[in-house]
Amino acid sequence: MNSLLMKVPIFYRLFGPKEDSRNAARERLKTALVGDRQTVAPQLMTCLQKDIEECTAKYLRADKESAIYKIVDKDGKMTLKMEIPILRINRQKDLPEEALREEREEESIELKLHGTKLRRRRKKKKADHESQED
Amino acid sequence: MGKVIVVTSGKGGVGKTTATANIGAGLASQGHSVVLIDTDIGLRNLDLVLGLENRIVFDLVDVVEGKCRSFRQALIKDKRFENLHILASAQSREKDAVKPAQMKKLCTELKDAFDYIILDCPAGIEMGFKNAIAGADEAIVVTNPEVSAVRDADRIVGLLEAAEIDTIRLILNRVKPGLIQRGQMLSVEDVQDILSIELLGQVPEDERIVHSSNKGEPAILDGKSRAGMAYRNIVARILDPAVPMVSPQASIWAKLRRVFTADLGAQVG
Repeated sequence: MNSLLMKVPIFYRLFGPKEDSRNAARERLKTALVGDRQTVAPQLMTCLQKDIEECTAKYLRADKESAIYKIVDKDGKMTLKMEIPILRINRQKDLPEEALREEREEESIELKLHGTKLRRRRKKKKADHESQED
Repeated sequence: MGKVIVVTSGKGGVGKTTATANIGAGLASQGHSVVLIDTDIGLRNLDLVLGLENRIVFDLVDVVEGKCRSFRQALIKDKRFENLHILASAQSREKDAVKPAQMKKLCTELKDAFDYIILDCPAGIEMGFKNAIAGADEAIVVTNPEVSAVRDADRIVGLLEAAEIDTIRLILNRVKPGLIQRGQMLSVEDVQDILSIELLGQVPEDERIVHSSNKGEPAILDGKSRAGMAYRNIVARILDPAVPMVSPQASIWAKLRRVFTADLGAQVG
């Protein structure tokens, strides 16, 4: 059967093994184009990295030396891969005000109430103490 | 006011000149005045494909350098369509004989006199490409469903976008529906997904194209040519984008083969 397949092209085409190269072409092309599109703008990664560094500096001190910025192919999709080791998060006074704001309005009210209760209790304690002394 | 369309591809041999000739002939047959310009200096071909090679007196470089009174003197009128003209490229000159600014000026002049100015761009991304796109309003990118042609087309699309040519449409040439069905060729959807530009049309692989260029006649005039039929659809879509696109169908043999292989698969399974 096999020799017949090899000898007669029409049989091979009809009954031979089915080869699929379309998907290989598609995937290989997509990967190649990731690299191609980057080279179109040689300074793209440098500029992007600089902008991201400026942005992250508002929140934390990054280890710039060992940071990794890369455009990679992930399941056929271009993906920006970043790995930025953090030396430390900024102190409160160096963080943007927005980052310090409480997330939910109710929560802050609760906190405030809690605070008043505490203060009241302390006041009461203090008053009791003073009255005892008297 | 006419429209300047550049036909480009990056890779050579994908069918730019054939596309230019057929689109030009098609637009002229619909009553529009058309000029086709061969911008491939040193590698003149468009005249040959249209069977006008014996009538060249002046060429593109002569016009740009002012060796003839006006561009009208250099235009060759087609034998079949009185609305169709070609401006041949110079055969004995270097690629840098023309500069982008000169091309832009020529395109502006031609726009006043014709409905469509179609530029046949040389392969590559060097000077010839820069010249061809300098005066273009729109671009048609021709490619084949092959990895190298698609990769080059992607590069071209990037360069066209950078040159602020906003209308970029794709012609997928040499499509073999049978091969696509067997999973051995990139499909129209695959190519469109990768390049993400608007699809103007798809042209099936057709041996009669060789027959047409042998005779120096555009395939669009050949009633038996499947590629000619596809180009008629492309021309209709250039004139009216609402016209639906015709997809090439697999031949009867390809369909029959699929039936056989499917049966075999059923037996094995």
